[in-house]
Amino acid sequence: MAGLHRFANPGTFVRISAKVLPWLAGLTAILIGVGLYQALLVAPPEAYQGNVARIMYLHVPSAWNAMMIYGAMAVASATWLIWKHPVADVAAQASAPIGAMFTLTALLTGSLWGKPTWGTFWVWDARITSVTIMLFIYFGYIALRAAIEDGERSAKAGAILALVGSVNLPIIHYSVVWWNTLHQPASVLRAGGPAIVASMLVPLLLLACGFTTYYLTLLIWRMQREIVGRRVRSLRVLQAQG
Amino acid sequence: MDAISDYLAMGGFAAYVWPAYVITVGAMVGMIVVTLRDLRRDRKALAELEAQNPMRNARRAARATQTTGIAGPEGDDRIDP
Amino acid sequence: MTRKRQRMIYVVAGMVALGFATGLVLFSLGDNLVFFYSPTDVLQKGAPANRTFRIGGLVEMGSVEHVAADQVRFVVTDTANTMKVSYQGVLPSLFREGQGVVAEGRVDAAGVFVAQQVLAKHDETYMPPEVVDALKKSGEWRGN
Repeated sequence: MAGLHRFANPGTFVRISAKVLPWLAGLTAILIGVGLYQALLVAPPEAYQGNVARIMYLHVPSAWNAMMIYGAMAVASATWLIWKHPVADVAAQASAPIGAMFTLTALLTGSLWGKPTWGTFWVWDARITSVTIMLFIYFGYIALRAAIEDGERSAKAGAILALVGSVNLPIIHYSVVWWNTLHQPASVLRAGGPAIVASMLVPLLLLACGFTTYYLTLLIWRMQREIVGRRVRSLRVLQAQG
Repeated sequence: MDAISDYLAMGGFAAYVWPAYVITVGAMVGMIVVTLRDLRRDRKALAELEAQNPMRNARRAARATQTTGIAGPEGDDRIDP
Repeated sequence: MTRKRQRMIYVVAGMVALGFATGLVLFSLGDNLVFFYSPTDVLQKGAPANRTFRIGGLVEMGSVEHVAADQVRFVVTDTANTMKVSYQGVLPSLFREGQGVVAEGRVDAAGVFVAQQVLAKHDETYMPPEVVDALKKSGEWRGN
């Protein structure tokens, strides 16, 4: 327990994160740089879809990370509710806009991929509908945190919303199994191994990992900003009181 | 030249592939730019506030953020005036 | 420690209740969340009258017939049952025999599904053209 409490201290977080940050940022640049090069220049065109399948290298990592970030936000929210670690609340709040951005890019790239292949920009199949619901939960979370000024109440309301919304995560994942959808079943995480050749799997995994380290890098920056911002606000309040 | 324009045409799917890459990379870069701009602005504001009353403010702020992590009115009751 | 324990129990109990409630809602919604019906579903439950719905399955091999400029007829199969489909319009680029397809429309008096929209469905395998050629050569290929 004592070990965990060390990280609950914003000062400790700021010190440790400053050391990790340059490594994470460098790793992100390498992973995404090599990943984009592989995706656009090395990977072969898909047999039936041709070059339009290159959208997959952005669509799938965006969608995976949007869900992973939601999971991280839910865990951080539960941690805050139970142990009241202030850093956990800062992490949840700082994650939401990044997750919302990846949800949005997953939907937009999916739409651009769907038009030439399926024949439509948008359908209300179970996968697209459940991901759209996740986008609105992200938006709702961001709006809720902004609307409640009292820090403790804002954190509590946000944490409860994040936990309630997490029931959507298994629905998104299993939507292609439980219901008939226009989406294909999982290609990578499936029994019997990935149904995708190595030359296409490599850029996909590089970009998926690159998006995750991008999230961690940006998360540290956003958490630092949130901690500094909260300190600024508290000082202004103290100053106003004389 | 032909090889390059062939490549950019993406087998006739240029209108779908390139916007997808521009939107995704643009959003990711844009979010970093906005975050770093805000971080710099808030750090400057904090430095200015602490310079106005260095000892007392720094101690108070550190305690306020450490006990609740939340810089709100409820944190203030715990600090002696 | 007891207060933390208490909060942990609240959070866990809340999540269990929520999961249970969601499961019940999904279970009761059942078929309403289905994006399309298979030919077997339509045969067993009957086609909804006066309402458009979607059928999905594979385009049966050798069934595609271009009857006019942009008028096409094909058969959708789920390997157990089949349904005749007629469609006027532009087909998506992934439409081909042996591949998945979802059509929206209604059944006419002759029992033919008249589609207003045809969407192609991709499967989960991603391969470069050379691999498809190699698979066809070695006789391992099960597509078209």
